[in-house]
Amino acid sequence: MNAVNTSASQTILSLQSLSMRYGNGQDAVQAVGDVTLDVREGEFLTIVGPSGCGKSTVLQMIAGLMQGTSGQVTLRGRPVQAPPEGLVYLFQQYSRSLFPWMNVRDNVMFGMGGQPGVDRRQAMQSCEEYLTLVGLEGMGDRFPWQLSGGMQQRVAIARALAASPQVLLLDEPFSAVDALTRAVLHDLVLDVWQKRGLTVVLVTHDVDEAVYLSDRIALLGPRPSRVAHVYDNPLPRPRDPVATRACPEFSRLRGELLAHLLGRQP
Amino acid sequence: MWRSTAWTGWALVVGLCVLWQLSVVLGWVQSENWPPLSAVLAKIWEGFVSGEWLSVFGPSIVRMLSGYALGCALGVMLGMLVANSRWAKRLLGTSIALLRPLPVPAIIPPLILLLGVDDALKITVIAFGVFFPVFMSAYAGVLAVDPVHKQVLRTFRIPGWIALFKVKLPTALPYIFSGMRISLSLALVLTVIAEMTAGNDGVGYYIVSMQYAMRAADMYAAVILLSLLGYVLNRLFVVLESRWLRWSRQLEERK
Repeated sequence: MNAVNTSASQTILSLQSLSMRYGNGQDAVQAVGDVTLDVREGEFLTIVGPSGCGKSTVLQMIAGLMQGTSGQVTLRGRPVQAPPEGLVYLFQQYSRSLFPWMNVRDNVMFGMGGQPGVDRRQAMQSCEEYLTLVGLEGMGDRFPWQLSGGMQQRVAIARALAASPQVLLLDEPFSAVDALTRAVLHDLVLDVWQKRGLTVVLVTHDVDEAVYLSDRIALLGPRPSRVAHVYDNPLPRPRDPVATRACPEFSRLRGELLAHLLGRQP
Repeated sequence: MWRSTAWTGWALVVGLCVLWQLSVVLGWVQSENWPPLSAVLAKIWEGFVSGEWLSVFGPSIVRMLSGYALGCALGVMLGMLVANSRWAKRLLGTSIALLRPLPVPAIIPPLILLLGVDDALKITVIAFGVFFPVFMSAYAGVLAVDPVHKQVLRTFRIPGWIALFKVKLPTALPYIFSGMRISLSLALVLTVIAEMTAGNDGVGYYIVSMQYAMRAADMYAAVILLSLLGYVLNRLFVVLESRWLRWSRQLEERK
């Protein structure tokens, strides 16, 4: 397998001088300074930054859930003003984002809700496929509250996939689960990313996670944030939770990112 | 909590009943208007055997449930509409705010002029009273939709009407049920008041007639049955509610 997904290096998402200011006058807070970044089709890009640097805000602006103060986001050349088709945002608070009155199957099928003319039987069938893909086969009749945190996040991922997106935006999706579950979910997301040919933009403050998952890593500086540096990740794929972390390249890149985040000269 | 106190609770009720009976038998209270409980219970039994209660309570229950259903349906629909649409809120908000503080019995005399004294009047009065608690709870329920759920609706580009039935209505349902429960006892109250004020049948009419006829035992019999009816309706409602809102209870227990 290729080191980097080079087959499609066309830009799918483009962030041009994005900025976000909350409030007015003296009390105004410049959350996002000036973020310019291109996301290539099919790549796994991670945005890393210190907490409070506005990286979640950037992701919500990409998702069309929030409008920036200035600058613009384009998806395949079209400006994003509202949540566009083919792009799904996966929430950090997965247990809150699932609907407690729906069982797992109905939650996942809800992801297809926006698509007109979906036959129910066909929908149930593809729902089962998505559940299998995230390792929840046969769990359709359970309710979210009957599942562990990691399983709830799998349901949320299946629901996002049910919308058949080309771009998946992940907002710190692994921050609330235990370390072992996190490692399993990492591989699940990589698996899904490759099988479905997705473009993924992940936001995290976890450097280890960023290096393990991504093709490229964009480092945001402290508020008002701008892209400080974009790192190419030379680690080979498929990644392996043990072998990949044992690569000298892994520690080197991890060290570089950490040094940068901690404000030390590398 | 309810289970452990049920026994002592019922013991008090039985004790008061015994006190009632003794107060007459031992001559503590001597009045034609204070019959022994045994006479009242005998009257209740006779009424069931002869079918009199069916003809007294039958029309009341039909009226009450019709008015209740109508009021609940309108309350849910308008509550959700007003919570959903700024336009509807602007149009209807003031009217509802002005009508809501009206004591319902006050509208009975003017409504008699418009609707006569028959079922149309009573069902309207009951529906009017039932409407407001249900309306307010449906309104509050829709506004209680989790902000994260709102974002989910947006990122999945869910059309408004699907969001209404699949997300907003289920969120509002626990609120709507609590409004409907308040309205259930209100419906019974209004049924009796409407029947006392106007008309010639139903339990409200019966109680007033028995009072005028100085038939105290019959009057108390109807009052006791009315209290039992309210109790049974409320228990029924609680059972239905807990069945329909299993997810909500589970969620509460998690918190």
